Order: sequence, then structure tokens, then C-alpha cells
Amino acid sequence: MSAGHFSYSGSSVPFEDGDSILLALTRAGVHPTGGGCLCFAGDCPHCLGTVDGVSYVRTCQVPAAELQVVFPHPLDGSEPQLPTEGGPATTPVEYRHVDVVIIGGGESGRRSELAALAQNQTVALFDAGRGEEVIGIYPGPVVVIRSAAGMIHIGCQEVVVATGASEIQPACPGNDLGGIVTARAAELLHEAGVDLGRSVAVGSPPHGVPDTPVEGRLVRFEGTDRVEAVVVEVNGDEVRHPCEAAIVGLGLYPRDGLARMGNGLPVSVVGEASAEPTIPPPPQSGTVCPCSDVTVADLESVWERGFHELELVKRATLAGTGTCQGAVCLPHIRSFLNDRGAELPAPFTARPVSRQLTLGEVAAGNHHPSFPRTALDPVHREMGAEMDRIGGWWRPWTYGDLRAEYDAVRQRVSIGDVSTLGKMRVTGPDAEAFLQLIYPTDVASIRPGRSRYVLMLNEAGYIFDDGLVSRELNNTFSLTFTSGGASHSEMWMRDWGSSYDVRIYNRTTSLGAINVTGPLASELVRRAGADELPPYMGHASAVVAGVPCQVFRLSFTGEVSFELHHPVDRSVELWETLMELGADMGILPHGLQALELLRLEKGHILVGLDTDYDSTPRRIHHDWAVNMDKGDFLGRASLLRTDQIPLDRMLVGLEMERQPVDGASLHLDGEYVGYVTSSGWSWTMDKAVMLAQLNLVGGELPDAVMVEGMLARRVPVPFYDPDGARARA
Amino acid sequence: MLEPLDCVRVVTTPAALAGAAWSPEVVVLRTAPDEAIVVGSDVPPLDDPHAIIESDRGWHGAWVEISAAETFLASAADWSLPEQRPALAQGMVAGLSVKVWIDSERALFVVSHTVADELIERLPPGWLS
Repeated sequence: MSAGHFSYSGSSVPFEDGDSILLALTRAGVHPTGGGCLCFAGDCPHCLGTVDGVSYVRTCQVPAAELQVVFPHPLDGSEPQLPTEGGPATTPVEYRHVDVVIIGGGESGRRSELAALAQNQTVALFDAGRGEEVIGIYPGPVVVIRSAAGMIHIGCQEVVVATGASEIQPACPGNDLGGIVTARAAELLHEAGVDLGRSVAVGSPPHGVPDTPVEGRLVRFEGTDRVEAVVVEVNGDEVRHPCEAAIVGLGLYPRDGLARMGNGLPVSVVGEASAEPTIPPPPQSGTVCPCSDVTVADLESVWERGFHELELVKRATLAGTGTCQGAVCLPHIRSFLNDRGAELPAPFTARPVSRQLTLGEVAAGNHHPSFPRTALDPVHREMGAEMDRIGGWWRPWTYGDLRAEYDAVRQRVSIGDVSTLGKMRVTGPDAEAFLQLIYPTDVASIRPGRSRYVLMLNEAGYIFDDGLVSRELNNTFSLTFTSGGASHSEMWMRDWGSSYDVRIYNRTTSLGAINVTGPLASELVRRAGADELPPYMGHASAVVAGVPCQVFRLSFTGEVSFELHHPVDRSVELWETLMELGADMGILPHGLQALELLRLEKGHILVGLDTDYDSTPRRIHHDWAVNMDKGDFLGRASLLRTDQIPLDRMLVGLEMERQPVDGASLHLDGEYVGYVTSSGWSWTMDKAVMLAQLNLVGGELPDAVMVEGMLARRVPVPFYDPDGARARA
Repeated sequence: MLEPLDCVRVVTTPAALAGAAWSPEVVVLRTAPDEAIVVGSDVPPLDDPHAIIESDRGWHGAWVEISAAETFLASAADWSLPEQRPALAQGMVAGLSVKVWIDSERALFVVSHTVADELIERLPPGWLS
């Protein structure tokens, strides 16, 4: 009685309740791969097909269902085509946790389940016959299962592998014909009411299946597409048995692939999976590995060339590396080697995965790295900003008109979102002593209300971050770090701070920060209600546009700048009010692209871009940020040593008539002498300006070098407003 | 539904945190030995003159029933809720760092505002939104 129909190569195929796709196809007289001994147990590669757009599906393990669309794989061995319609499907994942995972629902698996339940353990049992394919056991242990509903990742204390044994497949000429099944498969088909026709049984016959058992060693199968006769050898003579189907019972081989993934994990193996493997008679001819099409002649060839170990034979022939992962060929290869006197190794460690997976199944439960967004993110997008992932955050690269953004900063007033800056507060009795250790500047000389630019050095004296130190009270400091370096710097601070009596608070995501910059910045901030503005490199509390802020006066752009640190839930309100108040001043927001050019004109470095992994303060002309007389700090001992070594390269300023690409090589007399770290076209100076790592030649920095075929002159940095008069205005 | 939480961040000594007489009206998320996020604004006196106590509006949160939380985590996190009540669990949910406070009946999901939208985008429609 048909329970429904599915499509196979465009034809309708009926199925009955409980049928797998393969069973339904067998009823219909179809062999999905044209031939090969069918096991109906998920071990062999002979029933693979494409089901609902997914290739390499073992059709014996998939229940037939209405509206399924099934195609055979190309019979010429070429790769099945990927689906051309439909978008990527998301594979759901379910995470579970139990005491014991049991793999296999046979007798030994069910017995293990009862034993675990009797000990009040929580148990999950998975059985491939129910469409639950365990594809790997991972450290944890975590067992990963593919099911019809998606992937299951299940953590547990113990894994019991009760996967039973696979039936040894015939390795002889003609084993790629249709009409050949294993003994267990014959029993399954008989119980399902499938008539195999006149059957000959070789080896151990199936139970309850009408057949003609034959004695003797299997020599070959004969036939054109389907088996027509089985030829066996009896007492040196070949005997031919005509038939319509051949049933092979050649012994069992432990299905131990999953067990071999459990080395070092709490994994036990029970039942047939733990049995010693049967060594079948050595193959004489024909195909041994149907997945990789490896024949006995191939095995003999590699043996003759000196490949006498299982792993070497595998690598030389690719036997065992195909779809079935050795389930068919491994017993025969072991027998082949054993027959020639090779030492058989203990079963080797297996690695996940045990089954072919779709990309969706592999990706199930995984996510791309997160890029956090500032509170102003929706505002930037609403304003049409081109957003990009920079320094670990989504940030506005440009609002569409770089020149206009640049001009707003240089000539009027602009605001930028700098909420991504790392922001920390450090307090406690040891706060000053702790920061003296962390920073190469003399923190003790920073008075309350004042700020100072600082480098961060590792023990080797190399720069890994920079920022600002501001003293609030005697033992309370506000610190800032680069956006991309903040996480590492926090770990650095907490690591070194563990032996100090300090409190360290990372408030990067708790505070928003807006930079108000430009010649009219002071006027705008005053308009917003902050009457008392801090001096250059000072900071003060103020209410700006009704929002409580800590106002830091500094300058990264080269113009008057106020960084307004504020409660993050007030960012949008503050931003929009500043834009409104500055409308008649021609205010525009600026993105990162403009900011990078503005800071380049001032010669301000970007750590990680203008510095290298071995940049010392001296190599980037930042000796002024280091106080060697203040006492010990991280990196000081290294600087004392490296300062004695003659310089080999320095960060310098270059200018030329055309902007090169970042990273362009510097040449002198045809020799490589360095590279450009940052470059930009300065509208203010009407020339290209660059920072570059330049090698010393003959102990001197060259005055000019060639960049992309053009002459670039070395010039002092900053390029713009070298006295800093504009920033201090 | 994820909404901004009214929190106070407390950074102090482990002993001061442990010894504080917290109001039953607040939820104290002990995120580190020396740090707590207090959901609610009532912070008692602490035995630490150097403690940092700051208003913190950088977190979004949503209360859900325990059973819903367990269902939710089963599809989005490879860890499960602790059996102890009340308790704080911290881990990745849909690839994002999330804190979950659980009492006998409810769970409070807490996430940084910087990834709150992304968390919603990564979850099945309707979850926490």
C-alpha cells in the first residue's frame, strides 16, 4: 500500500510506510548508483544520491517522504552538481547536555541505556537507522549528530559507542553489478516484502530468506548490468551458479570509526563494535575500494614499490579516503597486507567527521565575529554614512563627501564619533605607582585636571598602543586607548595591576564620546552650555547640551578639539543637539577617512599602521614621550639597551607631487630603503604627505627617495601647523 | 524584549562586594571577583573608600520565563543554565557575549548595548525582540 511518492530523476516512485529512499527504489527495481553490493546500513557508498539538493546522501538512512526530490549521482564518477536554485538554507542547531550519550540503538546500545538509567543518569541514545547520524566525537566530550531537524551538539560525561559491525563487502570482479546485497540487507528486504528473485547466498546465509546457499571461495560475479551468476572455487575448480540476485555473508568488521575518535576521552565501546575484526580471504582481483576505484592490481603495484604499511598504502592509493572512509576497503587491504607478511597496526585514531556534511551543517551554530556598534550607529546610517569595520567596530568611513568633511574640520567645525576609544578609570592607593609602571611618561607630574599623551610599551620596549592619561583626583585617573587596542590593553592593565591596590574599571561601552573639532569648536561647545572650557591638554566636567560630560581638550586633527565623554544612552541626544546648534556654522560630521588624513597632516601616528612590531619610541621620533629619569617602567630596561644600538630605520615625513599607495616601497639608487606607512593628498598644502619607515643609509637618513617612480623629499613632521598654534587656539 | 537597563557598575575589593548588604530590590551580577553590575540604582555602603561606583547605561536586558530561557539557549548556546538558584551565567549566545541571571522563576538576559541589535538579528524572529 503506497504511503506516498517521491521524485527520482523526474519519475514518480511510490513508497510504503517505514521505507527508506533506498528501500523504495529497490522495490521499484532501481539501483541508485547503477551497481555495487548494497548493505542498507549506511556503511557502503553504493546508495549515494542527491536528496532535495544535498549530494552524497546515503539513501538507505533517509526515510522516504512525499515531495522529496532525488537524483542519482553521475554514473561516470564525476561530481554531482550543486543545486542551482534556492538560497543558502540555515541549518538549525540544538545544544543538549546529558550524562551519557549512547551511539547505536541495537541490542548492546539499548542494554547500555538501561544500565545508565538504572544509575539515575540522564541518557541520550542516537541511532543512524532513525536518521540520527553521529558525525563526530570531540573533546568535552561533545557528540555532534546530524538529524532531519538539524544538527545536535550534545555535551556529556561519557560516550558509549554501540555502533555494531558492518558486513564485509565482496572484493572481486563483478562486484559493481546490480543485484548484490549483504546478508543483513537481504533479511531487511525480505521483511519489507521485497522479492529478490532467484538468489544465491555465498558465505553465511541470511536468516529466513529463501535462497540457494553455495559453498566455496567467491571468485567473481558475472552479468552485464545485474548479476546473472556467482562463480565460486571449490577444491580448485570454478563452479558457476546462475541467479537473479547474490547474497553475500562474508563476515563482520567492527564499525569502530567513532570509537577511534575517542582516544583520551571517556568513550567506551560495547557489542560488535568492540569485537576483533574478521580478516577476510585476501582479495585476488577486482575492485577493493569503490570510492576511489582502487583495484587489487593497484595494491600490488604500490606493494611492489615498497609501500608495506597500511597508512602508506592508503596514502599511495587513496583507498579509504573516499565517501565510506574505509568501511568497504579496509578489511580487504588489511587482508592483502597480512597475506604478504606485513605487520598490521593497531587501529589508528580517527578524526571527525565521519560523514559528508553540507556547509550549512558545518556552520550550524557558528557565527561570524561580532563587530560592535556605537550608540550612534543608527544615526550614522540614517545620515547615509558608508560604514566599515575598523578597529573591531562598525564605524562611519565617510558620509559621502570627503573633501567637505575635511574642510569642515579645517575651516569651520565638525563632529566625529569616537565612542570606540578604549576608556578606563583607575583609582586606589597605588593608582599612581601602578601607572608609573605601565607608562613611560612621568605620571606623577600630571596634575589634576591635566592630560598627557602616552605610549604603551611591552617589556621589550616596543610600542603596542597609545592613548591619553588624565588625572581626575590625586589617586583617580581616566585613561584612553586606541579603539583596536583597547581589549589587549585592558588585559595588560589587569595583568600588571594584580599586585597593586588599584580598582580598574573598563567603561569603554558605558561611555559615548564625540569629538568636536575645528576653528569654531570652542564656540559650538560654549553655545551648548559649557562656559568653562578646559585649556589645551586639560579636562573638566561640564554639562554640554544638557548632557553631563567629561570634556577633554586635545587635538588629533590639528584643530581645536573637545572630546565629550558622556553616558552612552545620551549619545544620540548630544550628537543631534550639536548638529542643530552648529547648523549656521556649517557643521558637518566627519568619518574615519577624513580623520586619517587630518591626523596625517599633523604627523600623528596610528599604532599598528605607522608602527611595526619592533617600533621603539626612538624609531618613531617619540623619545619625547619617554622619561628615562623617572624610575622604572615596563620596557625601560630594554630601551636602555637598545638605545645603545645605532638606529637602522626611522619613521619620517615625506612629501611629493602625487599620492602613492600605502605600503609603497621607497628606493634609493635602485635599492629598497623602506616603505610608506600612511599617505594622503593634503588639500591644505596641495601635495601628497606621507609617513614612512625609512632605512638609514651610511648612518644617515636619505634626504630624498623614489616612490612609485617619483621623487619624494624628506620633510619635518608635522606637515601642518608645526607649532600647534591652531590646536592651542 | 531587550531594553536599556538602569545599572550601576561597582568596582571594588572582593571582600567589599561579598560583605555588602544588597537590597532585595536589585539584581547584583557579580561579573568578576572585583566587579559587579547592579541592575537597579540602590548600592549600599561598601567597605572600600576607593570603590568605583558609577551609573552605567551600557547594558540592555530582557526578562523571560525560565522554561523559555532554557528553550532559547538550547538553540543558541552550547552551555546550559546552572542548577543553582539564584545564579549568574556568562557565555556566548549566538556567538555574542551574554550574561544570564536566573532566579527560581525568571531569567534576565543582559548584553552590551554595542551588540544588542546584532544579537536580535542572529536569533530566530521573536526571541528577545
